[in-house]
Amino acid sequence: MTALALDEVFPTTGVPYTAKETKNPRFVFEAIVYATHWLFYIMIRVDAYRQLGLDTKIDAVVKEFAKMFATL
Amino acid sequence: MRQLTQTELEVWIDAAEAAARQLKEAITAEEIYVATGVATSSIPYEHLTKAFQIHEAVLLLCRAGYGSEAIALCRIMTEMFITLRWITNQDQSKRAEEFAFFVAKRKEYAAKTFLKYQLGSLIATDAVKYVENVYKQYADKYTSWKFWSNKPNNLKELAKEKEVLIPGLVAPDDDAEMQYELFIAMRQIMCT
Repeated sequence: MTALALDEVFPTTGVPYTAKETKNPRFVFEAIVYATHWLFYIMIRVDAYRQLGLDTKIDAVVKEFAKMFATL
Repeated sequence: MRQLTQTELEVWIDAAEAAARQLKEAITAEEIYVATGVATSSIPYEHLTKAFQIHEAVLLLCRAGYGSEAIALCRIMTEMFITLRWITNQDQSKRAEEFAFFVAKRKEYAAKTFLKYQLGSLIATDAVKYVENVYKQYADKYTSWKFWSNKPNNLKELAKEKEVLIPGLVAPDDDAEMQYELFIAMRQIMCT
């Protein structure tokens, strides 16, 4: 845990402390993209190493997900 | 980039879930039988299973709005990818076996830690004896209990190895080192 992660939950001064929830939608977006990105990479790796022949199917899934970026 | 609304984020989460589901269906349809006691067979699939689970866990956190916490979980995915890439890149049998044997080192470490804090405990003493009897031959192969590979002995070094398995892959797929650096930089900026 770095100081920057804690900065997100810096308590408000001048009022009694409460463990208030702090949620940042930007981080939600980043997490979705990163997790899915790594899942694709791991799947591609397993497919290539075990020679499963799933590359066309994986490619189709990746392209489908990539279409989402056009909505940004 | 503009801030996404909650509704838009839900659409992204749904899309990510659908992608994972399709990948799972694709591999399940292959009816793969993982070979017993063959590390080159089991190691890739255990990484893949864990990747699916972590991905699902990340999306659960995202649905609840915990983005920063979900990114922290993504780190495991990065580490798994770099590890898997290195194991499957070359000299696969040796590397996969090393990875599997490292479990012995961790068991030895756990038993010894147990004994350290339960001095005089017969259960702890027996645990160490048991682990040494069963796993010592494998545990002794490792200099450290912290990292599974003796050489290189850290993720950054694993990531530096040139791509061999998929030589035609274009960047950034063929540059795990860059991915590692990128992820570390992202962590520095955002969280964990």
